[in-house]
Amino acid sequence: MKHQYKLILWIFIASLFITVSAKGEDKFKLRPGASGKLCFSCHVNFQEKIKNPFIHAPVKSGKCTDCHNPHSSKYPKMLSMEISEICFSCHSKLIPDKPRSVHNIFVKGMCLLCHDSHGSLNKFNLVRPGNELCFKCHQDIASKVRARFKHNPVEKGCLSCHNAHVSRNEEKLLKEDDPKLCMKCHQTGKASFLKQHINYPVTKGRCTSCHDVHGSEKAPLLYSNVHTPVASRMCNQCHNDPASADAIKTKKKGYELCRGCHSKLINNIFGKTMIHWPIFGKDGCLNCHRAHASTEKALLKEKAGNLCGRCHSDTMGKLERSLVKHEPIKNGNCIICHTPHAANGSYLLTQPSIIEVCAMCHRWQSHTTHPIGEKAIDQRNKNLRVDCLSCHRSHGTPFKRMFYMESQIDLCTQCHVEYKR
Amino acid sequence: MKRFTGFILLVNLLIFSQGVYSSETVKVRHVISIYADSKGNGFFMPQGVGCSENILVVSDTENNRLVRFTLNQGGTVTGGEEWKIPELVGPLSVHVNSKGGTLVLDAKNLRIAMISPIGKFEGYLEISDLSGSAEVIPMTFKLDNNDNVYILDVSGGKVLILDPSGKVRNQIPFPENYGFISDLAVDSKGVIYLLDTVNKMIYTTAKDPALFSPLSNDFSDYAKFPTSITVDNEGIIFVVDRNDGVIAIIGKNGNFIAHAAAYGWKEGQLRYPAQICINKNGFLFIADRDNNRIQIFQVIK
Repeated sequence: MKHQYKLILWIFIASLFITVSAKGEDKFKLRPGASGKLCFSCHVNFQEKIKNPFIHAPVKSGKCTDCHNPHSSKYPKMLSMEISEICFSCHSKLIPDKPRSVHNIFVKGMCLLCHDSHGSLNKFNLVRPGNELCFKCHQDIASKVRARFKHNPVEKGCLSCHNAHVSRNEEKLLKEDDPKLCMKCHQTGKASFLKQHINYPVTKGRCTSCHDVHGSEKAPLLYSNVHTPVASRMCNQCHNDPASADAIKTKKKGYELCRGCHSKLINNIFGKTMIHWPIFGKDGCLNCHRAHASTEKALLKEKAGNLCGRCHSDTMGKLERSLVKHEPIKNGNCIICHTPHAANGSYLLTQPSIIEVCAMCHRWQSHTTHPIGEKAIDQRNKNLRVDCLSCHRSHGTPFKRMFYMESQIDLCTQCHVEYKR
Repeated sequence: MKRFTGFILLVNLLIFSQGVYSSETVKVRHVISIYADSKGNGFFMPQGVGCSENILVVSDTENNRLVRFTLNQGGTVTGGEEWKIPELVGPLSVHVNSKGGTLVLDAKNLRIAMISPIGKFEGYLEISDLSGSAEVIPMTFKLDNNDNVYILDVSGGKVLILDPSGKVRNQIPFPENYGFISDLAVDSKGVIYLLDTVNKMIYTTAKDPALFSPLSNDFSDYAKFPTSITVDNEGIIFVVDRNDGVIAIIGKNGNFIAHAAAYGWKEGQLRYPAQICINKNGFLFIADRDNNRIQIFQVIK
């Protein structure tokens, strides 16, 4: 009797194993052992693929039907689902709960940008080896690697410092936060390190506020634009004395700190009637500028267009939806038309009037004879004068010539009502 | 059956109490547009509009002047007296207090000027009893029913509450992780509302008078660049979306109710509107900046 129970148990376990292992075969009622081999009978080129040193597990075990539907599919390559759904059905553990940073292409499910789903010459089935893969997209970093001063870990591989998919607690997919990550290699207690940093407790700050960790033309790996007090090693112009208890703390807050050297600029701002308010915000000038060094001119935090777009996302959105892309905005040159600090009058314009701003690039007389200016009263509203913005919206519209309306007749007959049909 | 009916009633009661169904119907009807003072001198880029039950004051910003009107029943106006005040350069936010006086933010001096009911400059509001030495930079301000002044101090990242003489009564820091706070409103109970232009959110002191907490989730679907806010007697919030020329009407619980107005030149439409003000009679006043006019709407519930 006891033996009978054992036998039944063994039969049950064996049947369970067969059921699980033959999942794909069962689904399409394939003959036992036919899976994989059957596909390769037509897809002969895959015979070569599976000779690669790194093969995706389902391919290796011939389970083509784990990802593909052999009969019909609404997805390309006869896939059984969206690519991302297929990948995440096995690799779901790659996404932790609420990660701090995520690789953009990873969340979008564009796994095949980096991985070959069948097999490859590279570990993890990567389509290209090492940094070559990353630099396919991150070309700005690639150019830095070729710079005069190089950072050893970058040459070893991006994965020395970054995770490929997500970072649970760190920004920019870093394995650890700055400066902890840097301190793994750099001995911050050394006399030479302290001397180099004028005895300031820089480990309380961020190394990347001065150093361009991917490579630089400026020793020691500094960003190309360095704030004069940093370059002249006069940190105490802004920060407390290095020996003080709160050495990193700045002597003043917000714009008041910058006013010490940039008094002319700040006084000029105060003299205007229209102010770009973030200047007076809690972070003051640091809302847009970096304090120590930057890759951008004027120590901007990032390229001007991106920087402006952080707050003015709606304006940037207009550009995206616009049929005609206004060149200055498209190129991120918002400051061609707008002054970033202050002006007399609305819009923070660089010139006294809209017409003068547009005339910096456009010779309006050459494309229209329509009167504009102080003497041309807008027929829609006697308080308005006709200027470029009477017909065109400078940040873009979904219509041609950045007109406010799809039909030019509708636009013109707003004023010239006598011609309205 | 009785149990089932009871269950359904309970579920509905819970849903209503959470404000999922909005019973608020609020519409806004255009009444008139004002283009000029009593002498026919047109407005130029007006950025401020202050209102009470019977007074309307316009900050005619680029003409460097204030213009005072008398409000009549039905939302019409008479008067339109020009106040040219040499001390005032580029007037911005403007408010009328309970005594008929006007307080206005001077863009150049970044100070609040006090103007008598007959248009005489009475000096600047001096802030006293302020702890710490930090400079106060008022971006805008509001008054409550008792003429207390609520200053949006961008530099300090806080709302400064002053009594009518300028003595500091309270300071409430902006909420954590705010984007950029561009305006505030105060309701009849003294609850403060903050408008975050970048995060497209409203914060309020309704839950805790010393702390701002979110009233709404990100309402970027309803307002793309919200810059001005006001609240009526019943707690209905009106938010001006400057770049789209739209008014978003928000319920007491932060629920979106409706849109009013649109971008354009016609009366009732707005182009880069600035300050918004509502009076106790339910009239809504908007400085329609780029149309060089003031527009009056009536709120209908």
